[in-house]
Amino acid sequence: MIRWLKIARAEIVRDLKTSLRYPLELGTGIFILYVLFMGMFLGAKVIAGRASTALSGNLDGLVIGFVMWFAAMMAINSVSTDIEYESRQGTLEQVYIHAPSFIGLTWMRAVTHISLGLGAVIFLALLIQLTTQHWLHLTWATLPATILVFALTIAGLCGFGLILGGLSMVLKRIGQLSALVQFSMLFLAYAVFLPEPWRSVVAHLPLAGGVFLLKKLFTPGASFADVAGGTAWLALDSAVYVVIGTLVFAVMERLARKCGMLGHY
Amino acid sequence: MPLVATAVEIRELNKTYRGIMPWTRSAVHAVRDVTLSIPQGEIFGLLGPNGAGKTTTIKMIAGLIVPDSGTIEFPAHGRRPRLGAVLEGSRNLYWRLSAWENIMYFGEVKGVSLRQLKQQGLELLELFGLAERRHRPAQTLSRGMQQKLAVVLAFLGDPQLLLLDEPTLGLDVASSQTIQELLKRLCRERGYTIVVTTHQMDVAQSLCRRVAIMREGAIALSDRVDALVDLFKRQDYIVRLDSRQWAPLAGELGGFDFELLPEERDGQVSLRFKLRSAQEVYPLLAAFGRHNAELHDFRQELPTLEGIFLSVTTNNNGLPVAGAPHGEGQR
Repeated sequence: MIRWLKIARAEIVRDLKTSLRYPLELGTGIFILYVLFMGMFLGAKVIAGRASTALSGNLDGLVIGFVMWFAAMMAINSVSTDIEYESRQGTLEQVYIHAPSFIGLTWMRAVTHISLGLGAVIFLALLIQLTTQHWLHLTWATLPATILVFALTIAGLCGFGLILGGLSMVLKRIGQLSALVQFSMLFLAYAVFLPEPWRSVVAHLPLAGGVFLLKKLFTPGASFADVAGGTAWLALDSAVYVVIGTLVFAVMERLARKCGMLGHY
Repeated sequence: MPLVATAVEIRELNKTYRGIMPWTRSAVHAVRDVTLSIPQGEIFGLLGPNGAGKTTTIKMIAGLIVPDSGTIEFPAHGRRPRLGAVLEGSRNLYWRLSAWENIMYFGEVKGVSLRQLKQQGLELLELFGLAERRHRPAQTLSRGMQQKLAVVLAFLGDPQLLLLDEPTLGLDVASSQTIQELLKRLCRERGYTIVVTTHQMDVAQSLCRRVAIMREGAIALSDRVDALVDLFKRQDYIVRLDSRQWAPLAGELGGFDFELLPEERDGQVSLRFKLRSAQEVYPLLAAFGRHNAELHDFRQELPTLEGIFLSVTTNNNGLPVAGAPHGEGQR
């Protein structure tokens, strides 16, 4: 346990130093996301036209969906794109040799990376709310449930990311697949606007269920009781993604070692 | 004679690569029936041309590649020793991190205590001449320094077994020699077991006590370097004498197999005699004596590891061949 805490510290320091060494890159990344959101927001405004009440009724979903999409991409990338990058850089084999467990290290990296990235998620959420002058209704009463739903959603996404991470160990170049996932996640982030029965179907896919519940939680007067059942389903869905992701990752890791391609790029 | 423990025991190791896609299923036999015993506390060289199977073997030892069959055991260390490795040279580093940050990161992942890490990290950086530049990002260091840093990282946490894949490849002579000297020193002083792969024979000869020469995935020859030199030793002698004395001697030496070497300097010529046995040295010296020839040099020409390597990797049986040692047996 102490060893893992030390590894967590090492990962946090590495992540921070790597990001802060090039602050422009970090800032530009957030700025691009902000511009992207504003494009969507203004586009929606133009389309909504005079029916501005329709837009304001959906602004919660627009903001939550976008912020969660950003968090989702961060979670997925922390376990998939990072493996591809490390493989290209040549450090993957080193960490594989020295870490007590490779999948354990991958999970640890996801946790530390997302923990650090939360700052960026919150900053982006605040910036968007400030610009749109539309504030999400978050209360102390719903805060624990919001954190729980967020954590479960991210855990499921990490599980999904492990599938991609496993594939990247064997197939190496999964850039196009990552792009496809990125767009799919954008769709799932806004699945909240889908009509029934499609809404109930996609609720079990990564990200979508979490966004539905968060939207409910940000409704004035909401309480945990309103989302208890949905949270139980979300926990089950996320557990399934984590188990499947872990299994696929383990199989792909074994296959990569069998084919001698762990360090290939 | 003290018993030397075995650090790595490899038995009948085999590895065939097959692609995972149906159109890439053609087999490449990378390693065939490799059996090796690597003693503890020595630098062991795994030599061979490109594609001989060195890197596959070393990665199987590291657990990065799963063998198809065969076993790898670490009798002196139990199930799995503490490993240190340089497998991709300077690509082993996080380029955005400084040398010191790389040390702290890899040290903590290896499980080295913070206190030991700070002490050992600084000590190794000083030893490798990197202490002054420890706060510079790795990507701004020269190629040689990056390579040294990769070796420093491998030494963190006192590994029981170090696996170095081409640790001096692409380095200038000075950097290469610095790394070689430091590896020898650390092995001598701290008893590290080091397995090094290289196709630079001068590096292998300078570093290794024992070597195995691989060819097409198999071990062609494995022994101590001095034993290999002995095995490949021929009765070749180099003689240097004044050019003026050479002409009158030429007729006298007709009974010997010799050649005049092209180099001529300071008014002296060099001759290479290929004798049939060591006993022939006496009549040869007697012939020089009869002419009162002043010999500036008279020495047996010993084979270099490079010569042995070429002999092993370019003929069919991996043994001394045409013009090779008289009376040497197969090994």
